[in-house]
Amino acid sequence: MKRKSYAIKNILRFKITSLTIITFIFLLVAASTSYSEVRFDPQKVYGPRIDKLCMVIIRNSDAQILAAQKGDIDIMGDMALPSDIDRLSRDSRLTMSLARGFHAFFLLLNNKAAPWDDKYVRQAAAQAIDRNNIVRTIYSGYCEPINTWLPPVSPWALPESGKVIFDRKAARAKLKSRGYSWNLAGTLVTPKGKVVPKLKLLTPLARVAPTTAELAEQIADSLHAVGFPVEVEPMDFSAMISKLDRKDYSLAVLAWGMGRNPDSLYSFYHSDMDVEGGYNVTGAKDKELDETLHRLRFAKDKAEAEKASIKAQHLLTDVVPSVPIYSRFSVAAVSRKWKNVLTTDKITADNMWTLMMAEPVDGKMRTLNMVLAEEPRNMNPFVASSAYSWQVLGMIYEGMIGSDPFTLEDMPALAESWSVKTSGSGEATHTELLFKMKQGLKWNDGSSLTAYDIKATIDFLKKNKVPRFFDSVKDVKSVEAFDDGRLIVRMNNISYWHLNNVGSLPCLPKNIIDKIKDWQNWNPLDKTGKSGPYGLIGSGPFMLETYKPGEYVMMNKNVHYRMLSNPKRNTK
Amino acid sequence: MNRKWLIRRILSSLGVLAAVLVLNFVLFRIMPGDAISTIIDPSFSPEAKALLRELYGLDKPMLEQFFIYMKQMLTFNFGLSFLSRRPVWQELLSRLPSTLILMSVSMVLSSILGIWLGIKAALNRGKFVETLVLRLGAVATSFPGFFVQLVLLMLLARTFAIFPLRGSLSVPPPTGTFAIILDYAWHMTLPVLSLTLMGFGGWALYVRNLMVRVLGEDYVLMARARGLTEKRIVYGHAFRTILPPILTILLMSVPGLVSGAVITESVFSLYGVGTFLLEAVSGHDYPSAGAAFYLLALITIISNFFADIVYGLVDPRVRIEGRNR
Amino acid sequence: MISLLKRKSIIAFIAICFIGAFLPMLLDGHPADTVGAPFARPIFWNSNLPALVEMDISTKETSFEWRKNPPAIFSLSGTVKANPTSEVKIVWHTPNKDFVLATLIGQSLYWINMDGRDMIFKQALNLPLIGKSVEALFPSKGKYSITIDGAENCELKLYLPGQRQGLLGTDQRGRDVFRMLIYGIRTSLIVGISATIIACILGLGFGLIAGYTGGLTDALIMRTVDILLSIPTLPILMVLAGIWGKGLWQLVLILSIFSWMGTARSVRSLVLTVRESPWVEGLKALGAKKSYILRRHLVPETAPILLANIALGVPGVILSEAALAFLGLSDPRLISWGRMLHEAHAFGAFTEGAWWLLLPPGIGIVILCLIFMDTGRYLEELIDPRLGSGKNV
Repeated sequence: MKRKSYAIKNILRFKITSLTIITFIFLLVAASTSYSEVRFDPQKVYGPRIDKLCMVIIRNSDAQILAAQKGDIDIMGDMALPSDIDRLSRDSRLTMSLARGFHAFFLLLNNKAAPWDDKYVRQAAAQAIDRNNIVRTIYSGYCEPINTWLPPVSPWALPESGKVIFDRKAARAKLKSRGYSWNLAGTLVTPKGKVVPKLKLLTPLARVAPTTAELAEQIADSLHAVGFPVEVEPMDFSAMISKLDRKDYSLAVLAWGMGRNPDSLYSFYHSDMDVEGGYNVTGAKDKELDETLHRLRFAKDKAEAEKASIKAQHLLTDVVPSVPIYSRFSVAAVSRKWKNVLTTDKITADNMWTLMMAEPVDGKMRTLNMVLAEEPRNMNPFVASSAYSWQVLGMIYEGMIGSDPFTLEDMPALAESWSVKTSGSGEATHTELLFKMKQGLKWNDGSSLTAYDIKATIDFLKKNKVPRFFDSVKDVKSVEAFDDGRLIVRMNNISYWHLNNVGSLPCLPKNIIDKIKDWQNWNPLDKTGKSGPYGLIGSGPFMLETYKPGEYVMMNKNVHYRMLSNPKRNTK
Repeated sequence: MNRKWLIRRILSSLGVLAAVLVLNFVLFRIMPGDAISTIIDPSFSPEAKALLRELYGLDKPMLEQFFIYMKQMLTFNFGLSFLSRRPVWQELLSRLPSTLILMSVSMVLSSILGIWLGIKAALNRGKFVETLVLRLGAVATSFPGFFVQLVLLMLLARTFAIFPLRGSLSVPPPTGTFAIILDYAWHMTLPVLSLTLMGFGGWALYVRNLMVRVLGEDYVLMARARGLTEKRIVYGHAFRTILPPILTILLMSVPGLVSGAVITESVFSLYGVGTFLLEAVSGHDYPSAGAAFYLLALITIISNFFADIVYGLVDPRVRIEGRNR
Repeated sequence: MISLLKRKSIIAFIAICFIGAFLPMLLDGHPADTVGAPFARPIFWNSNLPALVEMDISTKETSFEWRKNPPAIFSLSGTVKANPTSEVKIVWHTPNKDFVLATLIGQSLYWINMDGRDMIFKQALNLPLIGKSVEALFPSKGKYSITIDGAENCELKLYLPGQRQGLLGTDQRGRDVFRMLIYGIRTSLIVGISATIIACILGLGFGLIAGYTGGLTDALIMRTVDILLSIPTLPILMVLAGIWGKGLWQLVLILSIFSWMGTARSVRSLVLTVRESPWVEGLKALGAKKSYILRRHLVPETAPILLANIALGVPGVILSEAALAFLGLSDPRLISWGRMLHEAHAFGAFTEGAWWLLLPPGIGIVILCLIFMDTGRYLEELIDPRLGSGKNV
């Protein structure tokens, strides 16, 4: 009861003060006092320079902070609590870095049910939400209010992604123009004269997303202020997902970890994906948007993809199938006892480049300690699904294409160069990817790495329909490898995104793949080798030494790593 | 020993076990929602999701799932965890020692402390010591365990950083067996201490009551009259009389310890069965949550069974009346 | 009846019920509302820390003395009216340095809403993006002022929540701990008492049926009791709370399902003895109906036991609820003491050393439990004076 009167008070207050609002264009430039790096060519870097990397498993955030303050931890990434960030920022022994993240939070609207089946009503809802206030009170400002359907850090996102659109007056005007009115209690009345019934806002329970419930309450208050009778209903995460799947909801809040590529927009907002198990949970259907997203997904080349991506994002701001709320900054802390720490406005200090280049300031080599916030549990690259498993596995396995720390654009990794072309004609027109592998590459066991290994990896993933990589390889028609390091991947259809999907697959050696008897049960840490060979053989900068569950993961430098030797020293 | 009574006890324990097994299955299958929704991410297409469901055996009919489940439980082969895709039994096994050490050490410590205090109180009836023990015991049992632990943690691990905040080993761990044991003990001090504090009160009250009754018996009076030393009377005669009920209570306190361990592991971020269960419950990991619950229930059932046996061995009336205790 | 009121625990119980029922009505605002800065200390703590300062700014220049540590939040909001052609400048003057907060031109009315925590604010003033901007805005003790140049009229409000707030401080989201504590009483009492009453009714029903009917029904009920008693309570409660939503009444139901067994056992054994007693036998011989005997003689006979059982059962339920909430398995909107402890544990009270988030709810739980246990034991003694001593807990 108390809550309701509070909301009504809000409405009254804003009736009086809904004046012209100064619109800010939110432009977050890299200009921060903590960044001092000069841009360099990431391909010329050499490392890893440390011998040992210890990933300490600390699940409790208090323990993480205290360990960092005590100096037990050198690198700590992904800090979530504002009070922790403020606290560590005062510690002179630590350097903090901040970058825009890939995580974004959305308010989902059921586009198929009233009142959200009208795009103007959706636009009004988007305008009614006071994102700034949410970011302030829940995250003490360590988040970015967004109005974009791609993470702002993505090179594909529109520059105006941070525009503040909050304008209660305009939202009310928009509703009025659609024939809506308000009753005495301030609740919306439909053009047909009926009071809008209670709208339930589903939110996952606190264990999954600790701050989500508060966030949902604030969104509900914002929507209340323009007359939507919204009520928050926390529920079990998986129950919520299945409700979304059936379109059995009105409103919901959900966080997505999004990819860099705009390709994902197709899965979220194309009406073809509005099927059971599909990701178009809002039920968005707009002819022009569908067409553009189709062009985006099946673009021939980068230029075409870029054009479609820009158009699609503009269309989304008009159609508003869902309402973007904020994107979290990622914040990391690094001990000043280490030098050569790389931070950019796109990635925080806890990145591979830092781990590659870091050296102790005093010159005395020691183990670098880094926080791992959850148990990795599984080390089988085919089935491990948690981000924490991949934080470890990502240091062991590499793909053909990497990403540039300054721009997040593609850059060579195992492949030296690549090209995308369209060949065939008529029905058989398809994308063909040509990769040229670097010469003299080695696996961390010393054996040589060739295009045949990559072919074996792709073939294996395709043959076994490994779910995690299924979407990346399902359109692969054939893979051909050559002695000179060329690799040709022929696809079934045309899409520019095949390049990233195939190019970023983690690569394993052929002789390991051939020995795997049961990929689902393969435990690379099992010395008996029951379901497959023992050991994680990859080509990344580090290799696994020991994994002590509950305590730490110890990694060693990969002595065969492709970037290990100092190019300057070699030329001397 | 009465064989019929023993068989009945075994059958009744098996009945409980069967009920737990069925409950375990039903509970996790009526969970609302989609079991795989916590492991998918937006990059999954509907086809990839279907593949996952098939992989996890969720596309099979319920009855078939039930038989697979029963076989798994009875053979201790719990299948693969949804979250980690590793055999659940392996993961549980790696966490079991830590939980068992925590439980057994604190059980031994709290019972010794409680028994000692209880006897002291019984010997000093009406004096300050008795009142103190009674009050302490009552307060200790009404404190929520996790609150005591949080306060201890804040005081001893943060304000006066004497003890570590988390985990069971330093990072990087010390070298040498002795150093590792010492390090482990240092990490386990707070968890064990807090569990002991939570447990000793009940013991003290119980033992005091038993002892008071025994000390009033004729043979104790007789022994006193014969001029035996107080020590001999208490530890030689009276204590021997109350030992069987103490043993029974020891076994019957196991279920409470299980609950205590779950909370303790969560507070001190320990790697054990309790945190595993919590993670599995919140992550919708049926096989893991089911197996962890089954294991904890099994510990409880077995200790209850032995408690009955011990009690029955000592008190012949129970063998006849059995259930109507 | 009068003797009842002499017992301290009963008086305390009545007092707590009153506080839980009526104090929330006297406190304005909802406990979930943000009232100040996160992790503010209790108001009576260290007076060197600032408390909340609010200032209306309607003149061109407002100045004041600042003799304490920086506040926790700097926020300025309201409206500024001006001639569209003139430039409005809002400047913050500190003893060391001046900050231009905003330069406005081109409109007749501006709506100001700035907050020191916003990234855009830090960026505009060239402050580090990570860390608190108030430390730069309040560099030292001395005279501070805010000037608004070029405006015709302004209605601004400077809002400076400090590091001290409320009787018991604030939590990680700036909510008032005292208010939450008071609301928590209600949750604990509702959950504790209603779950125990439901459990007692269940126990009474099953105990009566088992004791009076005997035979197969008796065996069935007693086996169920055995089974429920051998299931480890907390794990099963965790599983159940994880499965069935986490609302208040679901919680009550879940807790009561697992606490009726003790009552059923004692009611059954009582019924067994009463059933064999001569006067019940006599009633039977006189042709009294089963239901009559049950209603008129057996139920009243068990009433005292039930009363004591309720009082003694409540602490267990309260502790279970607190444990579940502490493990994070409760509705986040439901303010309870266990939830408060959970949030203290999960959201950084330890690094802050925020004892005021830990002690009040914890001590609250202990006091409530002690009150109920003492009341229960007292009732037991009233019913059966022999229990006065030698009864274990």
